Amino acid sequence: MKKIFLSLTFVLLYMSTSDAASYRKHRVNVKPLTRTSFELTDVNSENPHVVDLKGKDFFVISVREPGSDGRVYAVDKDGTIWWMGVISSGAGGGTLVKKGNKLVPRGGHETSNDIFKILLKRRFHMSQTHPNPNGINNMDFELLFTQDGEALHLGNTAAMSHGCIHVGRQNISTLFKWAKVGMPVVVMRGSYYPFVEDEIVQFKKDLKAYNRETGSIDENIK
Amino acid sequence: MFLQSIFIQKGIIMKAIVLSICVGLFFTACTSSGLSKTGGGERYTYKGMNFGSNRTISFKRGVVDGCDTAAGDYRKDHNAFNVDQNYRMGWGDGRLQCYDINKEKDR
Repeated sequence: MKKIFLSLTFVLLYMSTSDAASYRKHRVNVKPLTRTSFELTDVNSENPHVVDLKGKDFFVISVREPGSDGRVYAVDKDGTIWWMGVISSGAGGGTLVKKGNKLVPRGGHETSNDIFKILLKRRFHMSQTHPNPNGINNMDFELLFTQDGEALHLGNTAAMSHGCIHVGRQNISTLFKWAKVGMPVVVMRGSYYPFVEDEIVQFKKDLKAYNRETGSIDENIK
Repeated sequence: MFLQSIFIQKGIIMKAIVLSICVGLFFTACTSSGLSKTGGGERYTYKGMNFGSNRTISFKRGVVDGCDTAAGDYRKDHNAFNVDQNYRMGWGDGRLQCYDINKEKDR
């Protein structure tokens, strides 16, 4: 009886560990509420909490998938979206498997959702898990943000990745120069671009209402 | 005869002085009326772009920082941006005007 109980416990423990491994993608859903605040929910869109990054420099990555922007945004501590660039992200290819009443993604090369932090900056780097056979660095301008090796780096934006964020040559050096270790990186599904449009419209209104004699904004014109 | 020639010369000199004053006043008047028609003040251009007239030093500083930022070299005086409307407007105007719209597709 004792042996049966022990083996049953072992089997259950193994199954839960196996579940945890296949449960690693999209553990968090990220929804932007404003330019700087984000609502995070768990994989079942429950247990919401809001993270406000106002007062911090940070990146927002809206992945390259239908319904998302395929862009990286650089937001400064005043909440100004001062730079944006085209990206490509994880190729996907995972499947949704049913666990109880829930669908859980398994496998594939998807970029994880969450609010991460830049762990390190490396100007020159070659991927260790996917090295280039010709010996050419394939992760230059690396901004690593997960322990699994997900990073922003110089890459072909026309090709999807193993989970990293490919940024084109015209943008990566600008972002790399500005980035600092510890800077938050928001990775999300859905669109962030409407906040860019809002910012431009608001600024044009402010400029129109700007009184250059007094250096103030005329609220009546605005 | 000598005195008469001196008086004639003095008259010519006086006429010349009066004439030059009148001409000077005429041109000054023209200049100031021209300025008032265009809204007054010195026009501020940066990198060949017009940023308006009568711009303050902090507005101009904002334009330079905003323009550098638009080119990918991030510069911003956060304190001035939050307390000085002139710098804030200059920074935003510089960023918008210096932003190369042709690169929008790639960005």
